[in-house]
Order: sequence, then C-alpha cells, then structure tokens
Amino acid sequence: MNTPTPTRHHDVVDDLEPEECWRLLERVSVARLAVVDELGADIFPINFLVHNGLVYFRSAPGTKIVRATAHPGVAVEFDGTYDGLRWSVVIRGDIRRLSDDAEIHASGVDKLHTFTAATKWNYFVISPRTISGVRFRTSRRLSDGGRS
Amino acid sequence: MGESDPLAALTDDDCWTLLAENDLGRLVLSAAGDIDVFPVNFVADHGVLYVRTAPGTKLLELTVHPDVIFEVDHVDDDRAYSIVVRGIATELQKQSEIDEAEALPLRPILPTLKYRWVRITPTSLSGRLFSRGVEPDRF
Repeated sequence: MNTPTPTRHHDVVDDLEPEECWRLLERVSVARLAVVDELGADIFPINFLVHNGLVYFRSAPGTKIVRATAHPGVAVEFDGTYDGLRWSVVIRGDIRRLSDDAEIHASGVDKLHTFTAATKWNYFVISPRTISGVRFRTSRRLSDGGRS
Repeated sequence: MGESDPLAALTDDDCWTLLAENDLGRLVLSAAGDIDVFPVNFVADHGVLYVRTAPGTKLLELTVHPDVIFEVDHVDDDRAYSIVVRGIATELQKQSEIDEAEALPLRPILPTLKYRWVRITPTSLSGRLFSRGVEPDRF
C-alpha cells in the first residue's frame, strides 16, 4: 500500500500537489481518522485543526483512539467540494497523544469545537509522513452526496 | 467509539435508512499494520453495499484482504452522524451479478470508464448520532 499507484485511475482524477492539499484542508473542519490496532481497523470522524504542518484533534476519554496510539500508523481522510469539483486528501502519518500543556495550548486544539461535549479531553497530534490528494474531474455524483 | 462517549447509538434500521440517503462513503483497508482510506461512491441494496472501483490498487487490496470497513458520515444544521459498516468485500465475477449491480441507481463518476463492482456484505453495523449544540464547524 505504500507503493506508488501508477494504476490509479488517472482518467478520472487529477493528482494534487502537497501545497494544494494543505490549502484544501483549510476549507473543512471534519475529517475521518482511520486507525488500526490488534482488534483490527476502525474509523472515526474528527474535528481537527492544522498547526505548523501537524494535525491536531481531541477526543473524549474512553475511546479506542487512545489504544490505537500503541499502533501509531494512521490515515486521515479529508474531502469536500471546491469550484464544483470534489476532492479528497489523505494524510498518512503517526499519531501521538499530547501531554505537554504548552504544546496543547500553542496548537489551539484545546479551543477546538467538537461533535461532543466533554469535561476531560485527550489531545492528539498526527505527524504527516505523506500527504496526497486527488480532484475528481466531474462534479457529478461525488459532489452532492445524493442528499435532497 | 466507546461506552463513555456522549453519543446516541443508532439502530440497524436507522443505519440502513441513513445509508440509503448517501452515495459517498469511505473505504478503510488495512494490511500488515498499514492503513489507508479511499472515498467511494456506493449504493445500498437489500442489505448489502455495492461500490464501483477502477481496476488498480484498491481492488487489488480488496481481493487480498477482504475484511473492510466502510464509513459514511454527514453533518448539517440539524444532525451529525457516522455509520460504520464492517464487512467482507468480494468482487463480482458472475455476469448475472454484474448485470444486477448495473441496474442499481449508482452512476459512475465518468460513465465511459471501466469499473469493477465490489459487493460489501456487512458483518456488523454501528451508527452514532452526535449530540448537537456544539457546532462542529470552527469557521
């Protein structure tokens, strides 16, 4: 899976440069974090922010994400629509639980809005190893999610 | 996510209703501790999911590692939810199965392209409804 994907459907998508991927991330606030542990893989939606090239988020206690940090390799998927075209960006990297209050505060993650209310939080940072993205060449279907 | 999450669990029926409202999901593949995520179009039909995928890496991984996780999420002003389907992915090989899949209301991204059909047979469903009141959008 780490190998390049020359067979990727280039008829359908255009690859995005890393700089463009980072710019697109500024347009969304929700992503999906895919983790793997001894019980298998799982995926969670997260609210995130980017600070100094790192992806920060926080999670309520008791989630599997904490256990997943024993297997730090994660993938985060972001997608949205820009100029009528659907895009998707995937960051693959390593997740680390934050314990340094200074780093938590400097990143702003302690102010991040989240899906859920909690009084105690676990803070995480993902250090990207790779960032890649595609733009779908048509707005049809992928753009609207099929919702009325 | 965990028993202590302040989230409401959705019933399987709720999950299928919401799956039918969506046509874009994300497929999670993991192998040897490595993990990847892809957005895919899908359609839910009679308790299974169908996705169309271009020949290439995704399909290759599916045939080697049929255990997949598929996720749909949605956020709007009224609700936010995430549905996770765990299942077994199989590529449709029989022409009769492919013909049936072709009749489903799922259009490819580009109609002229060749796609393969993959069926995901769920082994478990879990849906989470997020409590609202905290705007997820930070902008």
